[in-house]
Amino acid sequence: MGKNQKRNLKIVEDYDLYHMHMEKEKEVPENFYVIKEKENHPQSYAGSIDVNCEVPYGKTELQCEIREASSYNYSFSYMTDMLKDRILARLDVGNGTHRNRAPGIPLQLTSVPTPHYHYYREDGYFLAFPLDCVDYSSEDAVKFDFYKGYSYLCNQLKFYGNGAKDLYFDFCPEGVLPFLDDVNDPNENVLFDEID
Amino acid sequence: MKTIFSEITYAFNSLWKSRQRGGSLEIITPFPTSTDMYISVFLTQRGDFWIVSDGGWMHGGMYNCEIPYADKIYDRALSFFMDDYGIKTTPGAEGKGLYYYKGTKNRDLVPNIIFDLANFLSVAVNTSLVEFRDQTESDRFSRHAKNFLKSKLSDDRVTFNAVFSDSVPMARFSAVVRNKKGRGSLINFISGRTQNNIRTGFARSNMNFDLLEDSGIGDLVEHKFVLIDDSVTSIASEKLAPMIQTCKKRGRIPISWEHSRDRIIAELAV
Repeated sequence: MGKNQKRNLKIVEDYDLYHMHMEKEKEVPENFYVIKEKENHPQSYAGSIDVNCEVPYGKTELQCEIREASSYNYSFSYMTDMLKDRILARLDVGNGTHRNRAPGIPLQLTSVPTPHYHYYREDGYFLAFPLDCVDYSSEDAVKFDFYKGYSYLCNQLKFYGNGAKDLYFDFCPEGVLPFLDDVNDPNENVLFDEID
Repeated sequence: MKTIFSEITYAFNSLWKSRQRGGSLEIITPFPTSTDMYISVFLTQRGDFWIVSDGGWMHGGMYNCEIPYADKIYDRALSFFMDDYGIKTTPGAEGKGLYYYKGTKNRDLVPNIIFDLANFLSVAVNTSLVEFRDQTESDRFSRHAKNFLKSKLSDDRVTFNAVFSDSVPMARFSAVVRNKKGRGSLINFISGRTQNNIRTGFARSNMNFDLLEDSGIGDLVEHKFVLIDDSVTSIASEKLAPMIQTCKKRGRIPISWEHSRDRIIAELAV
């Protein structure tokens, strides 16, 4: 089976509090805009909002990273200052298939394509889980845009707004028009030498 | 026993997955990486040819690792695997990135090229994780210090191994913490297994601070920290005390990693 991934022992200690926090409703600002380009990562944009909960788990915030200015290649990370590696849960969308390496997982369930949602199991392993609302055999799985992702996350983390309006998310890159590069086929426009 | 064999093959086969991506088919393979991922390859038909590529993922860091092309030992291993599996490379669209690929005209051999490319990617990614050389004490401390600062400061404030201002490109610091209106704080990390390493670290740190101060933009620097790795026993030597004193006299703030590293964060918050 090889070596398992690392466990988070702080989560093991605090699991009841972590679970209670994750299950509780949380207040966030009504609007979440991703505006700024990341330093050292051209074409990657990031933003964050504060998250408040009546059962706190440290100071919490939701961060979004949009890669290659694509609405289909992004992640939302739910963070706290109480953990060394800061992460409480994460929605990964775009590229890459996660391999869950933790005890007790049947081989066929170790492979979890994107989009997937990570959170901690009681024994401190940060596992990836498929999303119930996605048909992974269809192209829908690679067209799960950040609007769908934010809506999924709001449900999952039980977010509500601090005003009367619905929660709203958008990508407004600073200084440029948000023409999104949403090519899904990595081989498109690539020149391959003819072989054989 | 036959039942368990069919259960084994079912589990293995379940790791193969596919999905359409425009004109290509993404094939998620059972070939794993040690970065907790499974290898994907992208199958495309171009006229009579079947092409399978990695989609530029390995070079692009999608497997959560940086490929150490500059490492001669790794480079030799990569060349060996490319030759062994018959893998070619080509630039991505508009010259961006690097694609590893294999192709065939014979439809019957499509599974073969997928097998070869996926196997190649798995070994190439996993080999990139091997540390071919011993990490120095200084590398190890630098990693701990960076992790500490990253955990306490937001990503957009701190940059590592950076210059404070492009106008003084020779003065490079272990960490630059940006404040408002072009001001900032600087941190140099000092570590080493021998006294000589540490002495060199102090000398380099002083030189960088001096270069910046002499450039006329020194007033924009709010704090000049020297973060010293005192988890290494040699640093406690009395012979090094004068160097720490010199730092203090010149307006730099020596910080003990073991005992007072949180002071950096406290000072930056003021």
